[in-house]
Amino acid sequence: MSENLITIPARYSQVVDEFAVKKDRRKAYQIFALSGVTAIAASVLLYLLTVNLLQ
Amino acid sequence: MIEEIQVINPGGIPLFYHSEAETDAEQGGTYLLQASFITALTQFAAELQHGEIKLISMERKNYLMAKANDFIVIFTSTDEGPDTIVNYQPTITQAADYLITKFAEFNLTGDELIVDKFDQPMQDFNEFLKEKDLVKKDTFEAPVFRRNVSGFVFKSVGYEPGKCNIGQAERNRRLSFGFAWLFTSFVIYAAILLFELDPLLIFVTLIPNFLGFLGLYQYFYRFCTTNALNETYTMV
Repeated sequence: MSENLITIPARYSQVVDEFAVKKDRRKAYQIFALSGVTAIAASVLLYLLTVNLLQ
Repeated sequence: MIEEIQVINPGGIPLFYHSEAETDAEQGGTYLLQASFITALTQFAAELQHGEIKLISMERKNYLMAKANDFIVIFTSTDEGPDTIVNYQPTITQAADYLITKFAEFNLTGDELIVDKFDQPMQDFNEFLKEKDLVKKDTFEAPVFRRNVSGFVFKSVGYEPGKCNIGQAERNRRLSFGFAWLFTSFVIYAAILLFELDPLLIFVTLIPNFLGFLGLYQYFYRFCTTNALNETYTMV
């Protein structure tokens, strides 16, 4: 019984709005892009640092 | 007189709401509260007595209910005794039968997650109610109604499209995930320095760096990319 009652609020996620989906996708791609750019910048920085350190 | 007609899915999400009375229920999302209340009671009844609730009588409001497969049709009247509303039993049964036919026609079950698939059946249901003279004030527009419902639900759980789709516990998980990958990156970097390996191997850290920053950004933006792509949110 309790399991069924607990799942009621969780099932609110059944509500999917197409505008919300679009906004979410856009934000997800922005975060992917930001992470990618930061990761590249960090790796390049580490590379330059290492090259200088090893010299 | 029937003042409100509502159809809810098994999860308690309203799919249709109509009110003849001058009420702010539609604007205030009161029907959402009613739907949750009735869903909870229905589940209680199913668990405790393996039966259905047909009528809820309150001091100023009476709810007559009928099942249409997994869905519930609700007729509401105010300021009338329960004896009056039960006269609508044949009508509500007809309405439920109509919905069963419509759901079969559109191949819809209670497990259907995409609520916009109900737009056309609900619009047709509105026409059916008009024919039965149960709907006089025709204001129902399925897409508008659906957007209102999602607005209320999103607000109540704290989800903001494009801004916030995870709760504190989920944010913390992503912070740990981010630090774990950045630590992996640091270990690779330290190994390259320690064993004086080719500096170009530094670019191996691109992947752990990416995952690490992804975790940190998800934490700071309160936003999970996987949830976004899967069209879900986890507000815990």
